[in-house]
Amino acid sequence: MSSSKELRDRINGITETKKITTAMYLIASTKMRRVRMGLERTQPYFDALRAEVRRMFRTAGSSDSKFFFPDDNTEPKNTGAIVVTADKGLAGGYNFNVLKAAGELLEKIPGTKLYVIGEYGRRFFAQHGVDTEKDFPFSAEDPTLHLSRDICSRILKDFKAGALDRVYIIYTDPGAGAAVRTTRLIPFHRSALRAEEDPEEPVTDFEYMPNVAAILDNIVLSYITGFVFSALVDSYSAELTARMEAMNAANRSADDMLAELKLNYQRARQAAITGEITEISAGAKHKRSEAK
Amino acid sequence: MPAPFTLSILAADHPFYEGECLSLVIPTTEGQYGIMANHSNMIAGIVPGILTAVLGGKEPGERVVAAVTAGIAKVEKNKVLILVDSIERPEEIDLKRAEREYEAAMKALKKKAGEIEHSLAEAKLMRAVNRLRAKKNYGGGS
Repeated sequence: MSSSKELRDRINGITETKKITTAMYLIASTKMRRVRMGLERTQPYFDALRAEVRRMFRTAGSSDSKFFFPDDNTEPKNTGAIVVTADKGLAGGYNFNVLKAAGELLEKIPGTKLYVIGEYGRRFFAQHGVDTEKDFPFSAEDPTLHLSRDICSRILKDFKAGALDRVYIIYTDPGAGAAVRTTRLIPFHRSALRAEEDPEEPVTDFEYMPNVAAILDNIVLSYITGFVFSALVDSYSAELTARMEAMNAANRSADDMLAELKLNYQRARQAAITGEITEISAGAKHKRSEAK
Repeated sequence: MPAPFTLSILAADHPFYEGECLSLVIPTTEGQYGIMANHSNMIAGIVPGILTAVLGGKEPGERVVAAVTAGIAKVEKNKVLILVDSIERPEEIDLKRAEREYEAAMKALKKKAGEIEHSLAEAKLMRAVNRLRAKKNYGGGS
């Protein structure tokens, strides 16, 4: 009897857990749709801005702007990295992959200053005794343009103050296989921008008012804000995809466990009933033989 | 009526306008700058200020006034592209909020913090002043 009660408790427990994982799955898929919509609205602006910035880089000769990679390829001294993790766990290997990439960067460039977005990453580095930038309280949940602008103003503040010469961003691409990317945000490298040049595009001469460097300084915040925003949205959708997959897997294994447990439960119940019937009929038989 | 040209205005969070335009005045780093059809090719930096456009299309002559923040303007073969962080029509501006932001920026400026905080506060003040100006001079509803 005790075994059938135990089985019933276990079935109830798993059913409850499955309810939670199903709900988490639904929440993740709804959020995902909303985030994607936000990105679609801003896409035309940032695409156009990127094209214009690229064009200006092409026309601009050597410039003293801080945002250009130095032409003599001197190695920058102070490196920083924005690491985009999730606020919560339960998202499969999502957080782990990002943290691994951050670890690799730290090994390659020791002394990299980490700007961590997301509670999970902050806790991880705190536990492992890795120093991160303290005054950087940004959440990975529901990325907005406003938030990205705050993040970029903060980074540019350190950049302009000379505390940083080079900034990487580590984020997850939700595309094929959810690959983690480590990309340099600033300074811009002229050769990298040139590589993506479209040879078909006719070259037009422009009059720059007042000059290329001043215009670039004017829009550099918008430019990197756009980049960071799309990186945040990409990461967030990768996180949600990972969570959806994890929850889906949890649901599936809950189903498997339930099927097996239910079978065992029915067997145990059947065995108990059979036992009772046997006892009763044996007792009745005994009575009958006594009466004779 | 002046000749029309194509104008597209893209704000960071939404496309604002796409269509014909008769004349356009934008706030650039060098001051207010007017653009009409067949302007020579150029690129200019936009600073927080007030943009005025006289639209073409079906009902020519409609005047649009809006407060813009930093960005760039590009004129290429009679096509004008305006890219700005944000653009607001006067009727979208909340006067109370703009005033609060103005006060907050003034306070931050007076605190005499570091150079960077100062420039941030200054930029914020410029945006607030710009909003207030757009609202007060061009009104538009409540």
